[in-house]
Amino acid sequence: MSLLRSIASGLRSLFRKERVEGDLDEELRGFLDMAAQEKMKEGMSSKDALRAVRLERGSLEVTKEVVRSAGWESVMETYWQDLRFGLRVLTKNPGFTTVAVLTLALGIGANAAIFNTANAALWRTLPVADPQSLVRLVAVRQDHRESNSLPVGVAEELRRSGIFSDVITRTDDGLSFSYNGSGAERVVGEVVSPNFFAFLGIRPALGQGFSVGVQKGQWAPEVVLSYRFWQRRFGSDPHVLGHSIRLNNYPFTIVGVSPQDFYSLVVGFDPELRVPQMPPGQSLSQSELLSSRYAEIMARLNPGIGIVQAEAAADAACQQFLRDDQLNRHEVNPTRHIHVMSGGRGWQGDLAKYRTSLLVLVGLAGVVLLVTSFNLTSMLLARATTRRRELAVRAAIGAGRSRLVRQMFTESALLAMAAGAVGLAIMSSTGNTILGFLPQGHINLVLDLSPDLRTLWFTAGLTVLAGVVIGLVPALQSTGNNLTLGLKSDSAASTGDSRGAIFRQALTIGQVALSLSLLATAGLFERSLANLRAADPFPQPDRVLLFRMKPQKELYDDQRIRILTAEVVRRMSTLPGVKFAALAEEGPYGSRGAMRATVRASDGRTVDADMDIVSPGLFATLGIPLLNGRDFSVRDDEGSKPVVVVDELLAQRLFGSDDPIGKMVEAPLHGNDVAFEIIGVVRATRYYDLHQTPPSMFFYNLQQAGPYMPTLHVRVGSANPEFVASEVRREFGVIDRDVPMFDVRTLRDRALDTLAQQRLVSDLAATFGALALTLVAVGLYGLMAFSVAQRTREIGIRVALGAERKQIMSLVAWQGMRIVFIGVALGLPASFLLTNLMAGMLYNVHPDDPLSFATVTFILGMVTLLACYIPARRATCVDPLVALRYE
Amino acid sequence: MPDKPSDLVQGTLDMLILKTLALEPMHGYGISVRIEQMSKGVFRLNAGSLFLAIQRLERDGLIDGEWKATENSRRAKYYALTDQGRKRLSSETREWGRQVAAIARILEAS
Repeated sequence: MSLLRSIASGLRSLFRKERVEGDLDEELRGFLDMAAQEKMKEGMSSKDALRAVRLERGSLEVTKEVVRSAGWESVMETYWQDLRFGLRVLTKNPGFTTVAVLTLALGIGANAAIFNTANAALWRTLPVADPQSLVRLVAVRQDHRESNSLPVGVAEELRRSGIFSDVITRTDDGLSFSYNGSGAERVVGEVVSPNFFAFLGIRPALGQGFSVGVQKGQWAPEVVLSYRFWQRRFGSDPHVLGHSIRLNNYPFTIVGVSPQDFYSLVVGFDPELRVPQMPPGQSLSQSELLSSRYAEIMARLNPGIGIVQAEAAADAACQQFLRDDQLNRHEVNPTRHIHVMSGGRGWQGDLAKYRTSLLVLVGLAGVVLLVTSFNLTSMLLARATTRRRELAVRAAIGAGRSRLVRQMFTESALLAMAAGAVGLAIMSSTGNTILGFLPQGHINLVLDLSPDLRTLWFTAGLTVLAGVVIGLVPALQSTGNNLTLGLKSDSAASTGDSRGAIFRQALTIGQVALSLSLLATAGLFERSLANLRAADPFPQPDRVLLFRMKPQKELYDDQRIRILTAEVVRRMSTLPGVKFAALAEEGPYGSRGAMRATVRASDGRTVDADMDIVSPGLFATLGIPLLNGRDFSVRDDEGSKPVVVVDELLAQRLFGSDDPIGKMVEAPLHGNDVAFEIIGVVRATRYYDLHQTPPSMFFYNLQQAGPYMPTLHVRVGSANPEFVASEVRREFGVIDRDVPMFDVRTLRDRALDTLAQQRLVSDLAATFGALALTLVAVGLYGLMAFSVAQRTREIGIRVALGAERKQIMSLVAWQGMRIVFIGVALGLPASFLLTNLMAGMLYNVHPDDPLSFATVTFILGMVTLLACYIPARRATCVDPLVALRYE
Repeated sequence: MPDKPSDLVQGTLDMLILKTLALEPMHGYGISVRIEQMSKGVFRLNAGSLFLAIQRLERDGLIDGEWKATENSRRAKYYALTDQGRKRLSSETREWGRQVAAIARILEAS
């Protein structure tokens, strides 16, 4: 009741301010008049009476301020006043405001962009119904390793057990796609259980998803396109439903387009389309994937069931199945147990390995924000110093100290808010930068980077924090001193602000130290990268073109693939501009995972080695020197004796210093151990991984071992690689347009992809370092210029007394460089701490690498010296006559 | 004046104003004079605290203000007790009595 009244009366005062104020005015005036009249009755003169009343009862103005500032509406009102005043002050200095807002916006924007990416990659929950109740199943294998891949039958078992409200499966692979008679294109398709969309509670953007029949177990060739594939390949055609496409040459009908915000349950993965898994017992010769017997499994907990409880029940329910299942029993490393993990964020997928890089970047961005805040604080302090007189006047006419602090604070808050808004804009325009560093191989990494609520809160939080940091110090600083000093115009007052100057120096020292740590990080990663690049074993990698192709094994039998690939190599080799052409199953920097095998010499010695399956001419194409013996030739075909080429390390390990040529080794081929004759020895290279010293390696002959998805390698002579690439594509279309060719890139790009984690950190740290260094230079320049301006008189006197230009210059420059020295002295140990944390990400560089540290310190020194030099020069131009007359 | 005017016990000003207005409606200066007289000069109010209290009481609905002419034929805002104010005064008086008695007992205990 009284609250209501208070609000009502407050509103009344706000809206009828003039009248209410007039009332109060008249009432108070009346009060004081009456008191004065009383005094006059006692015989005082009217002047004395007024004075006495003012002393006894308080003056009219002060009383008015006291009474007025008691109601809540007046608090609101002063905020409003502060806000308007703040806006006025900021718009009056557009230059200052722009620089300040941009500086801070860069800091906030960098943080927001990186946080947004990290959030999307690591922390975001899936955009599906009730993600908290989702769990993913993990297989614990015989050797105790965990794997996401489970026998599909497990899903059926879990459905029957009733532990979960529902269960889905998913798996994916490349498919040949064609539409309206187009040539084959490669797409990545996800095979999902028919209840996929219903389970996740997502409504397709177009259509209904899989038909009811399919959901009930009547399989039909239906396909749901992803939103982005629909945009890209079908031009967002709203009439695609019912159209027919071909996957591995089998016709499928489009029944839907998945919603825009749904990518997939695997973070970073956005398959082009989804098709329903076939029920057990059915299969389609065109695609083994449709009846895949392994899949990843996700389930939804029944309400009120915890994960631990569900895990115990699920494991128990599946034990019998796992023991009996033929598939699992005959597996080399069968599943023994089932774990249940929370699945609200989906599977981590390929992005998981960038976790460390992303976290490091989040940290580095934080350092950038600190530097920008320090810079801005320093700017505001400088400005507060020049505003001393204004503040003093305002204090003298009745503004309380808290009011002044609040005023300064409001200005900072306004600055911070503007910077936050600009920062968000920076974030959305640079959002893709980080993704651009990640390798886009035959499966693209895609992230939904539209900022979610968490990113917005994070940005808002940073903005508030920055506002507090940049506002509090200058506000307290400028009102902490005796303000009346500000009214005196003698020079004592203007040099009396030593506290502010010291504070600004401290801030600049902090900036120097922080930017040193950023630069040091960039320097170390840059050196690591240089080391890695130097380790690149292949000459002129930008002249080697890679084409991946995929003859679907369901459509092309081994013999046909062999003929096709031989034809490809033969015809590509004769194209103009092509020096060599050859095939490799994986090729350099390919995925090494399955490409390991044990080689046994005839004396029983065994070596685990990397391997690849290559065609004749690959060593020449890549530029791997043949040390001994010969390369494969077209005559080494399936009819002739099996041969292999080994690298020098393997030869050395198996045969010591003996000549390995002509020696026999046993190696697995298609599940059997086969005897091979060694026909050649090549130089050992970092074939699969630039980060590791070369392991032993050997090469099968493609004509004898049979490829699955070979990559065509083409070494270009003097011709333009792009021209050759288009020629190769054209020629390939002539040979067989039903085989998709995709992921065309140079060997250099592929090498860069393997360095993505280092490049990500190194490039962004360098950018951040450069930004911080610029801010330091600007800040230092500002500080020195200010100091020179304040010391004009002193410098004038020195010059008048005979100081040389050089002395003046070193006097000023030393003042600035001292700050830099202290900053470096503090920054070095801090940087050592920081870089030691990242030691694991460096390659062949010690985290305390003296060369890197010396280099970045030198760069820092040069830039800051320049920043001091300009004001120092200006100081030497001080004319003593002008300077001494100045005040 | 025998002594320097002393400060009011915290929170008692509202009660004193209510008490003053219980006799008859009065303007601000009248209230302050009356309190000064009744306290024999012990309490002297400055304008700030007086009007703060008046504003508070008016906002809480304990008193009601009305512009009227004074005997010296100038305008002044006269405040009168509302029913609610009357109730509040009697409850506060009772409470005050209890407290004073209690404090006195404590002080005389030794």
